[in-house]
Amino acid sequence: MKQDVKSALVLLVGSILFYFYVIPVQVKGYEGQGIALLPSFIPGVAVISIIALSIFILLESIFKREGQAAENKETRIIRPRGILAFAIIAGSVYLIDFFGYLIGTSITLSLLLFYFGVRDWKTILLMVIGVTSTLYFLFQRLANVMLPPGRIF
Amino acid sequence: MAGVTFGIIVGATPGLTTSIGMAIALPLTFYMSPVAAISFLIGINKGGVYGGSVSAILLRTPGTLAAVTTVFDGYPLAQKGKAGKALKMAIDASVIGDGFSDLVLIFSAPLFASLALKMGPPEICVLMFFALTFVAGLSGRSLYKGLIAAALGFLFATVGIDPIVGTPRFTFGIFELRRGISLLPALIGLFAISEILIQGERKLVDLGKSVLRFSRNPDDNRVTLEDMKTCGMTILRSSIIGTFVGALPGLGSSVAAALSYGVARKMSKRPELFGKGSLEGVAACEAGNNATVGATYIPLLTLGIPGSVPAAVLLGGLMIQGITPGPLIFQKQAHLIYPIFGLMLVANLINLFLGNIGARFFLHIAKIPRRIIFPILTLVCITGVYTINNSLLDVKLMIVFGLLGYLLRKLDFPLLALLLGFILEPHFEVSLRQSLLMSGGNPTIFLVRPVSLILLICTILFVGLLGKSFGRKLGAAKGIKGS
Repeated sequence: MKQDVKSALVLLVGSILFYFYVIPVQVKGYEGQGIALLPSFIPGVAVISIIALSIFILLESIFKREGQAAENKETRIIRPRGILAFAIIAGSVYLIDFFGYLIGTSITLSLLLFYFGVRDWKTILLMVIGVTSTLYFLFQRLANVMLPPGRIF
Repeated sequence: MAGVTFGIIVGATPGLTTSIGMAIALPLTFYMSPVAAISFLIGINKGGVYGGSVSAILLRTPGTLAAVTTVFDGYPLAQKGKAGKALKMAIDASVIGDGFSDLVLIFSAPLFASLALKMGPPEICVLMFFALTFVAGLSGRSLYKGLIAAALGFLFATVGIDPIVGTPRFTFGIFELRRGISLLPALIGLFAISEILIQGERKLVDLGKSVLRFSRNPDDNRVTLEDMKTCGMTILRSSIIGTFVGALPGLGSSVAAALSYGVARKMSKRPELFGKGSLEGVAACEAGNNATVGATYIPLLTLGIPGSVPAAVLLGGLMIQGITPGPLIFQKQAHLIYPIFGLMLVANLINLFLGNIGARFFLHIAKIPRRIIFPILTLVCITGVYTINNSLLDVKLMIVFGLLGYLLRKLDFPLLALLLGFILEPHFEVSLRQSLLMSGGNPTIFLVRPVSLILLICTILFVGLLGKSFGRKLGAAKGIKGS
């Protein structure tokens, strides 16, 4: 199935669910006001726009010729390495929250350096000590920002 | 000089904004004379607004909100080996825009302030609607995708407490979400983190190379006379737009940059280059965002109303020094204000000097291999975003936006349209609902006020021109298909 068809379907279904199930629960307004004054006005307009536009993209993609769809096909593929990089970065939040800033960022930086292709352990060690301590000094000492102490300390 | 230098460093660091830089420096001003103290803070502001463009151009990570739109043409230029040219155009346009608004401040502050006061909610609403029409021009190949991206931006901007009624929207029971999604985590996520994820897909052998190409052609590392001729009108136009937007309380440099970019693209002889490495694009953003610096002090000095966060910090600085902003400042404390104005102009020259020297130094940073720079950049982003509100939720939001930006780029949805929607929605919604409250729900309020009506007519004409332009493109595409 063409990528545009898939993305249009996801947007269409997601927006419909959002309009009927999320907005009524998450947005409360006051009765007796004109429609434009309700807190749900702008979110409602935005979601309805997405529904309508998704239908247009769906129709356009279904009737589009194959040659046009093949443009930039290579760069549009979602690759596992990109998702893995996301997983490492996402995991860093929990590492920092649990172990604290210094240990959490040291582990994150080591993993990222290894993931991006640095194989020399001395380079990794040097980078981890240098970068983490510089950032710690800049933000915690100079800018007086309290960096996360972690749950175990 | 110290202020500008510190400002450039702060601005170039993702996560550290000029407001944070000014706030850090505020206690130091206790020990300075009034003129030195205020000039120091203003120097940080000027340097910081330019500094944001450095990381935007070299690392695709806007260092400050003001450099939001500089990414779109600055980074592609750098990828083509013209990082030096982009950096130098950024500093030149910044200084010209900044100087322009400083002169407006010096010579016409009271007049400008009274004009700005006449802009009520209906005028702001129509102005924001006008800015939203640029989404169509920035949508790239698919107008529908551009509009969906803008609608998504609108939706994300509604998270938090409703500005009129005060009820929570889309907080899903998370108390911290009541303050809404801050622009900086969203920005850094959409651009920097998504870029890191895309770079992470590369083969290991490619990750050993530097992020950017570097050209040995001297013309690729400087701004030529020809470049200045091409960008001159753009810089002037953007300076006017930035000064106007800067004088309006609450809008900010990111709105000025977005408006300037949209207008520049519309008026350019080569609009197809925008988003792919147009020097005009860089010039427009930087002139527009820097032109807000002087202008943002107009309502502060003449009316005592800080129209932006940096202006609010400066208000603190003024109060520490015993300077009372307001209508009488030019009579009672002229001996302090006019020297400050003079030093503001000098700060622009210092910014120009340091920016040109700094450009050579900053280029070396971009020579560092991808495998080193992107992990470090990730850490800087995480730390910087955390410091905004001392909250890991902001970091989580940044990462979520990073994934969203990655997916949208893969599916060919324009990020700029999403960003425009996100930036403009709060101003648009508040002014729309305030206007309707003022008129008792009657939408003709936008037609009966002269300034609002003029802006509305301009918007309709602009939409008509856009429609004509799209119709021509569609016709041309059908013609190619037929042949």
